[in-house]
Amino acid sequence: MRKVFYELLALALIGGSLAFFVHAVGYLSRRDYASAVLVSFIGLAVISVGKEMARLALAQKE
Amino acid sequence: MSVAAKARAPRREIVAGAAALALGLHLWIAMIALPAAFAGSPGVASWALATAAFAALGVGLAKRSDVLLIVGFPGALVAARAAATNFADPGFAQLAALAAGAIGYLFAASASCDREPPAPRTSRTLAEPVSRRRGHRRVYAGLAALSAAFPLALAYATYGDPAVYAYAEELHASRARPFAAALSLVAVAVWIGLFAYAFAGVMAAHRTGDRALARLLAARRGAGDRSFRAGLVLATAAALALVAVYAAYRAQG
Repeated sequence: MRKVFYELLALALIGGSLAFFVHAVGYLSRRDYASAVLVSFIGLAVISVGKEMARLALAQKE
Repeated sequence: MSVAAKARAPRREIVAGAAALALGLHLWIAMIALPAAFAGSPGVASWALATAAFAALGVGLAKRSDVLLIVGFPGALVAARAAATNFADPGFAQLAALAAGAIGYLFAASASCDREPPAPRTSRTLAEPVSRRRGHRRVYAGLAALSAAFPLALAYATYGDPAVYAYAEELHASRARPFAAALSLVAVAVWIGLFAYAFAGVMAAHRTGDRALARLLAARRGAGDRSFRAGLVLATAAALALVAVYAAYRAQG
């Protein structure tokens, strides 16, 4: 059960981080570079958490 | 490793190498050779970079170099395309087809660079539970699906979203197309970096058993485990809450 929870969380976080990177591209097109950088950092943080969750899900025995 | 597994390993590498060569050549032709046939020669700089990309592909496959295949060839190819200022911008459909080809190429190149770890000093057969293998395959499938979704979404954000292109035209008037091309290069660079960090990074640790994480989990078992898990759940809930707040703010705005 815990393993499935970690799997779903990992995929939700990595998938959710995609939205931040897409928005960062939108901000770049509007020359709002500060917002693009900030949103990119948020996306990077979220994908990092997702990556660690994926590692945890793969390391869980049951 | 069993005899059958040892026989399978070189065959798998040959197939992966052949697939990487075919898909790499497809990308080279679609991004440089074919547009040059219609729009004319892209210039010395572009041809030099395209030749360098070709060399990176050949040497990378011969030496099974992951740096040349995953960074060198795509980077040189994208730079060659960027230097070809006389090429027309690809439409969204063409870009999506190129992205699909690039994804296939990266999978094949990664598989062709796969190296078997050194033979262990001793070994014994472990019966891994079927449920655990099934769980691993779920994570692999999820990561594969997301690694395909990322470039497609970034390509849409750069080229497919009419609002983004219209705003670029409004701001940059006659330079909207080069600006959109530069934006697409940024998107490709971001995707390659994220793939190396978040997707290849997870599998690189998992492939060798992720001993660092296994030691950490073993150390946390017992009294410390509850506080560790509570902290993990809180941090994840906070991250998801921030995502929801940002999505709500964007929906309003």
